[in-house]
Amino acid sequence: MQKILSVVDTAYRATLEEQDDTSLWFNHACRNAGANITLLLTGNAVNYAVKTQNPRSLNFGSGAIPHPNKFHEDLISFRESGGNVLYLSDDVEERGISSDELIQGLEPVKRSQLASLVDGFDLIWHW
Amino acid sequence: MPKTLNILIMDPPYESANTATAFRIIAASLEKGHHVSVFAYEGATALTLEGQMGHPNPVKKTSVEEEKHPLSKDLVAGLFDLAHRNQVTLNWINCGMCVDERGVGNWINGPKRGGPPDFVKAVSGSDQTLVIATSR
Repeated sequence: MQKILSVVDTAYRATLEEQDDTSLWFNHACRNAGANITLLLTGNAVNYAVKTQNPRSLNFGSGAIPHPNKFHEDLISFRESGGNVLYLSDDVEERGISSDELIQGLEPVKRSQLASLVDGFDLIWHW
Repeated sequence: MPKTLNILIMDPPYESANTATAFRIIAASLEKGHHVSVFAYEGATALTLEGQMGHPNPVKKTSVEEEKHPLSKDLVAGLFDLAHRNQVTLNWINCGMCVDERGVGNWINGPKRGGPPDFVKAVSGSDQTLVIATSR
């Protein structure tokens, strides 16, 4: 199976009504189906790794979004399935997030290391 | 020697230039005698909806007949025709769960229902995979 680097850059895309991030979900489903995927969080998606997220449920009259997603838990689950998760440290720093605010076990990558990182994979997916 | 392109698309019809770009890539591949697998994810599952209808253009004052509004279902049907004419395969899978949550299960002939495992199989069985995600 090819080595896949899946770059998740767009964040919070319809995540309330989906109660999921569609790209994280899809990558996890592909991993469960046997794909060899490493996730790389870039841009606003680096916020998915912040461990103190606690989104509240929403109600619109009788309509409800009862289980807003906790993205850091998705990343933990992805790692527990054997997947590796990287994040672009420049994007974390630009957003004023310190590394100790992130869940454990993620690997930082500098923007200057991206080219050599990409070189180590067969396929690059960008979300 | 024919190759196989695997492509994931995500944008719904009439929202993004990504759709036309994906159609151009698919058409060019089929015209050159290559096989194509398409995985329609999220809003892209509406591209093949049977119930799409053209409309007049009140700004241009054109009727339905004059406007000949392009329907994505017809463009996809055209891609299937192109594949048939060139004796290559166009395998189009609509993500089943995405279809269910949108209620968009009434398709034209051609697409099949599937899920991420089908995409993974297509990744293994193709020469290249292209993901065109909704960017914002």
